[in-house]
Amino acid sequence: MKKSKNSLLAIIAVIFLGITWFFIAEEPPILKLPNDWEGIIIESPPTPAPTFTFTQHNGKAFSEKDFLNKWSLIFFGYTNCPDVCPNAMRVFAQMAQDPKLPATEFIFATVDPKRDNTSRIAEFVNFFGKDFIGLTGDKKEIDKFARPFGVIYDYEGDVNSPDYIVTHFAAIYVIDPKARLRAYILPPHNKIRVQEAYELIRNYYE
Amino acid sequence: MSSFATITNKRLTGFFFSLLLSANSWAQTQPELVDAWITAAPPGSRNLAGYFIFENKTTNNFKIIKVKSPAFEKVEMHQVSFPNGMMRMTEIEELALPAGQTVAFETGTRHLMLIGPKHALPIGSKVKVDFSLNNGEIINAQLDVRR
Repeated sequence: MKKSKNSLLAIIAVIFLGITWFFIAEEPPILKLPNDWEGIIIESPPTPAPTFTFTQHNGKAFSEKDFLNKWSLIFFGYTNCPDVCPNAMRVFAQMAQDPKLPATEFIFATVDPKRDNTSRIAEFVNFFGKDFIGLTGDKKEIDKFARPFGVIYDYEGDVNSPDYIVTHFAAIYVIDPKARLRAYILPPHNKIRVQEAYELIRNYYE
Repeated sequence: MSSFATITNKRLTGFFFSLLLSANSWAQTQPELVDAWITAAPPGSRNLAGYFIFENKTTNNFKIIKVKSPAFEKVEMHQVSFPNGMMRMTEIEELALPAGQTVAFETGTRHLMLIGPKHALPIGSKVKVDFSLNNGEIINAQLDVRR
């Protein structure tokens, strides 16, 4: 009886040490950013992307596996958004044109699937970058994806009119090549600030 | 004959009166729009944003009470804020333009929300936008569509 209790304790200790080792080995100390850099939040340890299936603007499926083996920047918004979303896309476009930027996937995901079908999303992303990916899908799938990342959103006004407003979390998310949320960059966004933060985060955690 | 003269007279009076008014508005300068533009948007966009800087170099306080454009169904002034990283837009009913000050409409702060374009607005085209002031005058502005 006592012996089995001891071996149980030993097993627990081994598991505990294993977990601790895993995090110490895998996760470096959190990246310290300069004090005057506000609104850049590092996830340490990183948050794995949940299981989900979206539809890309070209009609193909997109799941969390599509984040693997590359760094991605993703913005959640809606195509009817006049200011903040097109601005984030302009920042993406300016970054994509910068030859110094290491290979990066740029993604726009809608939180307004009622209006943003695949053809609308395609018009929107193609306007900003020919290689950009636009994502839409079932509201349930969007929530599966958006919730763990803290993407809060809400519809304001008459949702049966064409002009309702979507209030939404407007950060740019940095996803690492293991499909994990590594950091997010709060608005307001401009090319210099976003790119400097992204490259710093990427160089540190790569 | 005499009635005709009266009408002419009235018309003339009206003409001179309006001349006087316009001369008066020339002297009393209005706030001005500087670097006014509209962001070129993807085809099919229902909402576009306009940006500019209001310069009120006069010694009077003004308010913008209404904005309209023949190219859009509706035009609103919006304030953008980011409470806890959320993007929130609220309509500005009246925009104060204090004497001697500038008010910027730029991304992440304020924008003109141009709703329901009546025709395509290609890059390089110009859009007429009228800003009504609280004193009854109108600022006629031209906004350039650009990327």
